[in-house]
Amino acid sequence: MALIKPSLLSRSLLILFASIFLSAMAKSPPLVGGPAPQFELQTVEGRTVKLSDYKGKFVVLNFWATWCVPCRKEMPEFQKIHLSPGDDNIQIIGINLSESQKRVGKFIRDHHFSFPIVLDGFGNTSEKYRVRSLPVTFIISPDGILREEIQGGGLTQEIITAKIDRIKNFNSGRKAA
Amino acid sequence: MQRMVPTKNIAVACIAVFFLLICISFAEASCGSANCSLIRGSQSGLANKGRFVFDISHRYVLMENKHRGSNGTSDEVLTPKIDFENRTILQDHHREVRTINQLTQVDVSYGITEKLTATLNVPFRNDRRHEHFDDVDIPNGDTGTFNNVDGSTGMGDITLLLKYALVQTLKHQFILGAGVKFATGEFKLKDAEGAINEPTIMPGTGSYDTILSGLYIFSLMPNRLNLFTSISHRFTTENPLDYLFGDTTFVDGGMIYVLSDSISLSAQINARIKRRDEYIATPVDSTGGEFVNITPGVILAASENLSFYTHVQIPVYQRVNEINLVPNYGLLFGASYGFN
Repeated sequence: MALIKPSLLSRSLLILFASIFLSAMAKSPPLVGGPAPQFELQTVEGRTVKLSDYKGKFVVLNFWATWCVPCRKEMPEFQKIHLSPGDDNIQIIGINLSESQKRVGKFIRDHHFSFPIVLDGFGNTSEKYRVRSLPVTFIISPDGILREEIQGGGLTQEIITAKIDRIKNFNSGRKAA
Repeated sequence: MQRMVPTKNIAVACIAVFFLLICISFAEASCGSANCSLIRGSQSGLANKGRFVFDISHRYVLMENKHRGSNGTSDEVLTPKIDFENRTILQDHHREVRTINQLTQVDVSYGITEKLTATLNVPFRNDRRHEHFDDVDIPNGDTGTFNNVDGSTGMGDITLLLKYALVQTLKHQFILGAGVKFATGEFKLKDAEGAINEPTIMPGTGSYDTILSGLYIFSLMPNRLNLFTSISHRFTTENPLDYLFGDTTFVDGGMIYVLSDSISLSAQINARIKRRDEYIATPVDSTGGEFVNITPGVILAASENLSFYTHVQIPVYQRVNEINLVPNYGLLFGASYGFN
């Protein structure tokens, strides 16, 4: 006896495709300008890091992977900001995409990074931030609003601090007005 | 009777191909100067915008297992002949022994936009070697006349497909495809007796068919472990000889695990459901059925642009209408090269 009737299958296929096509047409609102998606992830050492822990600070969220050459090139710049005494109000968080704890741990040790780096094993946080390429960096203002998305590598300490200063000035200008 | 391709030689060839692929010196995959795309075209059949992907593959399928319904049998596989000259079906005309299908195909894909890719499938060498006993319907007590010259070789039917990513996020991709199979392959080749050969062993079908497909990829662990399921359906039309190949539905599911920067493993279940063929609106015996294979495979990235792959199809369920030969196994290997 036949497992499935081909005519029934082809009709089901057409209905399935039509419904997926219609649902896919619905557009999501942009992330920038809205509240930054919350997350709770663990570091290589097992320490839990929550975005909400850093409310009141500028948060620079960098999504990266060890195999991503442009990511590797810009990571020392984040370390510079982390160690810079003038940037106390800036918190760097690195989010590694789907790599093993062992591999990420070795990479951190080899490069002596001391800012929090968390593991997004299943990519759920990356999905919330609609990450489609690496690296990508987000700047979140102290009020928890996602202010900027920077695609691609090449970021430096100067570029990041300049962007944060611009957001600060924009906010203070708005308050004054 | 001498076997055309000894199984031992095939096993040796499989092992040789596997070791050849393993021994390739791998280059570490690299990214562009600014970023690395996480939505990999190669996993979804999409090419990045402005990128060409050339893929060449060779498929070998040995068919010599006899099946009645869903069971193996020791009965003779007596199948009908389509007598196109007299526009009739001759029942129990010949006794099938073995068919070896070999298909060498080039697929060229081009990324028109980030979400839309056009693919041309060119089966430039479709080779079917066929063994059977003729004249088994003559009631003289004879077993018939052995024939191994009625196979065919030639270019098959070209297919043009458009694939569009309806959903394309890090964890979810849904790709819809639509295409047309053109009647470019030969479908009126003559057999040893000068009559038009069996439609099922021709390089082409002679018909213009439409194809609709859907592919969903779920990245359980992005860039490491992807699960996928796909379904496609071929809506067939009658060819100029009034022969209608049955509609075919393909349902696939599986996973791809990235073992290292260079090696990925895949495991799939592939199902093919084919309706019975018709000739002048009359159902043709011993055509159509359902076939389920498990297909393990290895994909090796030699560089960012070049990869090699090999898959083995192992049948787990086969059901034919009436009685027919079914595949013992299938072997596929190929290479894929992409450039901007």
